[in-house]
Formats: sequence, C-alpha cells, structure tokens
Amino acid sequence: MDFLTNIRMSFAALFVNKVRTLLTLLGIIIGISSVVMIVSSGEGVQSFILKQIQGLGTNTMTIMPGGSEGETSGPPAAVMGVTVTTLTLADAEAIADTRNVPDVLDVAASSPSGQASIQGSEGDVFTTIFGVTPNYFDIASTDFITGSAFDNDDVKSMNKVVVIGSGLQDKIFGDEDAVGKKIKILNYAYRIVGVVGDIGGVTFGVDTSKWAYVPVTTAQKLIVGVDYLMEIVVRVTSEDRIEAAKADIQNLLRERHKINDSKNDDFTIRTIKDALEIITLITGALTLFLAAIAAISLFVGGIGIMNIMLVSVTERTREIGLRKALGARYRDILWQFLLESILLTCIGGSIGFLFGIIGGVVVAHFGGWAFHLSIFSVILPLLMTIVFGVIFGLYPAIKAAKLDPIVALRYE
Amino acid sequence: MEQTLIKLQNLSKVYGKAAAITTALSQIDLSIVGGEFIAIMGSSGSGKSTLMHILGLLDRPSSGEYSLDENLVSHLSDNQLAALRNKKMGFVFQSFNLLARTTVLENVALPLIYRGVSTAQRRQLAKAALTKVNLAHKLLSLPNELSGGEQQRVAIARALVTDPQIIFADEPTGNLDSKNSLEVMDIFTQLNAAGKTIILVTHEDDIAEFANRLIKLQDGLLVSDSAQNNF
Repeated sequence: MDFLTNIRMSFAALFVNKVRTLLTLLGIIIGISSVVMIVSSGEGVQSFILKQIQGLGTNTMTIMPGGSEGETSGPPAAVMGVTVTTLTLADAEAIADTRNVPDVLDVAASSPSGQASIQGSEGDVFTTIFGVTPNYFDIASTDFITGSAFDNDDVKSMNKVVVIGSGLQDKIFGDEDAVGKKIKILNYAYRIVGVVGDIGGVTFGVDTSKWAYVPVTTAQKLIVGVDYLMEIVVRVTSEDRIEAAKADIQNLLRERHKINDSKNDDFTIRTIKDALEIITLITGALTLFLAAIAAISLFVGGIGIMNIMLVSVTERTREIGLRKALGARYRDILWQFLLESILLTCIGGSIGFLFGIIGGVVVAHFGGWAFHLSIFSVILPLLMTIVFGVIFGLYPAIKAAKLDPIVALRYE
Repeated sequence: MEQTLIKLQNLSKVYGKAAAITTALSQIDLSIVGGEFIAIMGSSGSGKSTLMHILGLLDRPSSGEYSLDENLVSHLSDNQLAALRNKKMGFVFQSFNLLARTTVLENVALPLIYRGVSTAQRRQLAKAALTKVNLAHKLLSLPNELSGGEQQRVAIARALVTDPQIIFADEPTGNLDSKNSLEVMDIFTQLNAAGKTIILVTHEDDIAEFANRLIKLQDGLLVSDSAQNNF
C-alpha cells in the first residue's frame, strides 16, 4: 500500500472521532510545549547569566578567603557563611606588585560589608556599605552619574569619603546634586564624592542602587571593625596570561600565609572561566531537571495515545478482519495503525511546539532575558514526538496486525 | 474449465486441545474445477462456514492437503496467503462488511490498495465494478445511505474489482428480503456465466438452487455432493 493512501486513511480515521482525537492531542500538546518552554527558557537564562559574567571581562579573577575542596567544585568557605580572616589588604598590595605577579594589571580589594541607616529627607534609609579600593569601580565597570571615585590617598589616609548609589541619592537628596554634601554613617560624617548607577556584573536581581562605598580602610576601621578582606579582584594583562597569573598568586599567597601543601590553602581563586564553567553546569543541570519533569507529562500524554489506539483497535476489529480478508498483510495493518499514532503525536507535537515557543517568549519577556531557541530545543521535541508516536503506537499496531482474520470478522 | 482449481484431500479441522476437542471438519475430499457454481449447505454447526474459510485461505486445516491451482497452500505464510486471497479471491459476507463513513467508491477500491494500484487506476476500476452491479450513480454515497440490497451489491463490486478467479459468498442473502435476494443471486448467476467460480454458503434451499452443484455437510462430514440442473 502506498504511503500517501495510508496517510489519507489515518487522517480520515482521526477525523471520525474529533473530540477523542482532540483530548488525546491535549496530552501531547501540554507535554511538548512544556519541554520546549523549559529548554528554551533554560538556554535563555544561561546565555543571559553568561553574558553578564563575561561583562566582567575574561581577564579577571577573584580571590576569596578560605579554601575549597577540589579545584573548581566546592564553594569557598567564605561563601558558605563562615568568617575567614586570612585575606588582608597587605596581600592585595603584594599581588599588585609586578615583581611578585608579572602579569597583573590592577587589583581591587573589598572588605566585608556593613549595614547602616542614613538619615534622609523622608526618614531613614537602610543601606549596605562596602569598603573598596578605587579601582573596584573600574573593574566592575561602574558608571559614575556625577562626581568620581575616591583615590588611593583616601584609602591610605582612611578618609571619610563615600560614593553612593543613585537610589540612595534619590532617597536622601531627591533631585539635588549630592556631590560635596555630607551624610552621617554610624556617627561619622562622610563627604559624598560620587554617585554611581547600577553596579556591573552579576547581581541576580538585587537592588544595588542603594549601596554605598567607602575606602576599604575606612570600612574596616569605622564600619565593620575588622582587619581582613572579603575578596580581592585581580585583572591581568590578557586572557591567555590568566592561568600563569593564577599560579603566581597561589605561590605568593602560600608563601605569605606559610602554607606548604595546596590542600591547606586558606584562599580560593576563581577565574571568570571557572565561574562560567560552574554557572553553565548549574543552569544546564537545572534545565535538564526541569525538562525531565516536563518529559513526564509527555510520557503521560503518550500513555493516553496508547490507550486511545488500543480502544481504536478494538473498535475496528471487524474492519481489520475485512482488510486482512481482502489481502492486507501484517505490515499493511501495522503501518496503518502506527501511522495513525505517529500522526497524532506529530500534530500534537507541532501545536505543542508552537505553544512552547509562545510560552518561552512570554517567560523571556517577563524574566528580562532574550528568547533563545537552539537547534537542540528544536530537535529534541521533534525527535521526542516521533519516538513517542512509535513507542506508544507500536503495541496497539502489533496487536491489530496480529489479529486472525476470521476471529476479527466474527467480532461483534 | 476442465482444469482442477481446488483439490482437498483428507482435510480435517479440529478446535481446542486434548479433552475439549471439537471436530469441525472431518476427512473432506473435494475437487472443484474452474467455472463451477457451488452451494455448500448444512445446518448450523455442520462445518460449512469452516469449510468456506479454509477454501478462502482465511483459516488453515488441522490436517490434510489443500491445493489451489495445483499448488499446495498449507505451508504458505500468513502474508503469502493474504497475497493469494488478494489475487485470486473475492469475498461477500452476510453482513456486507462495508467500512462506515467511507464512500461506496472507496469501499470498492479497498482490495486494490493492497495490490499497489495507483489512486487514479483504483477509482477507474472501482467505477467499472460498480457499473457491473448497476450502482454507477451511487459512487460517492455512504453505505448507511443505501438499502440492504444496494449495500450487498457494493460488497459484490468490491469482490469483483480485483477480477478474481473465485468468489466466496457467506450467506450473502441472509440479511436481505426476497426481492433483493433474487437480485443478488441474479448477479452471481451472471458472474458465473462469465466464467467466475462461485462458492456459496447458505442454509436456504431456494438460494442453493441457483448453483449447479450442491455440497451438503453434516457434523463436519461431507454427506452429499451432487450436480443439479438449474432451470
């Protein structure tokens, strides 16, 4: 029997039970659309985050206090909420010295953050205060709306100067220019030298516009009351020097901290490349996990197809007997029913794919990332529909093809 | 017409196993030449339907030999039997067995699908077959729009469309009134006159009279086989 006749016959059979066909399709539509939506959203989020990280520059690395298990796997202790006090401003200064690390371009350090409320025009504003070195703004590619960063002299002299976020400026001064004015933080008056927009890098939706920045030494002494750092950000001359610089810094810090065995490292160095790998791994795993859940719904839809095909075979037992009597071979009947279920899943798959893309675009719009559709998220559902059509159609089709013509003809 | 078309030798059919065994046909010897019009009669349970199913290659004998056109068919696979049925045989059933929601034309063209005939040629052949049974004006009707007699004529057209050597008819008038029965039997008579071998299963004497050979079965045994002159 030719393929076209077979397709026409399948369409006719599906058209006979419109409501039943529609309900069966629904299962596949929901399954495929969720798979497409989730996979495309996952890819969108991934490329969104990766772009943000790459915005930091691929020639930077971050040094955090506390060791971590494995090269790039475990998180450093500092991230896990443990206070580690091993990283100091002197370490940062040593790294910045090109005699120690020849490839270093510049080094920024930041202290642990402190919290304070600042008296504003409409009540107090709660803010997070970071102690940083001047080039921190540069490395984080922060835009100054007005004014500029404090300088290294301010760091050395522990001056009471502050850079505030635009959100903070709005809350305290409204439309007035804040530069040159003073605000009071924990009993001391600080002179405002600059106002910045959003901080660059990965912020994961945190409102950074209400943050304030003071010289790292000032923060250590007057705000947090510590003598250690939270992180050191190092920029090297070029991307291909990053591994060499990382090794130099490791050796330098081990020497300074008197560590003989790398297992005992009290610091963790993460390059952007490491971060990219980790983020890719996490978002990839997350997407796969969600897609697997969506695939369960597709599986349930597939069972629906098998169910309906079995009912169809039973209903059409006499027809099968007649066709066999008239000369239909095993494979004719097999293909007739298999094609019907493949057609069902393909129709459902196409509609589901469309809905999935619409859903993906909507989610991307509200999530704030660009809609992303890779070859993978097109091929995967396509393959899934055909495979599911075959898997769930095969048993009913074999059952039909195996029917004995006499038994089938006698069936009432 | 001299050539032996069908030859059964010592053919038996049993159902069930061991203790619960039922004998449907017992040691049947039968020879049919091309162009015969045979009526198989018998009460229900006599084995007449089983015999027809075996002759029509829809069922296999438990023992004995069946040769069709001097070829043994007992050892053929299901698919080979299907191909033989499609090539040499046409079937007419008591309950018509037309596909609902499928036009008369497509119903008649159905056997040709399994022969790999092109769509255009299928239509042409089906139309020709329907013309032979005087239904050329009902090509696009659906079976449920036709009378019982018309439906059975569609079924006959479907049996004819492949130009088979043998036409099997299982109680073809069982669901028809006497007027339609006569019309259907008239068609069979004409087909026989045109050279087709007709094998008819019936329990009605007046229908059996159309045949020129009468085979009677009783409890699975062939009890009589006689030529009869039809008018």
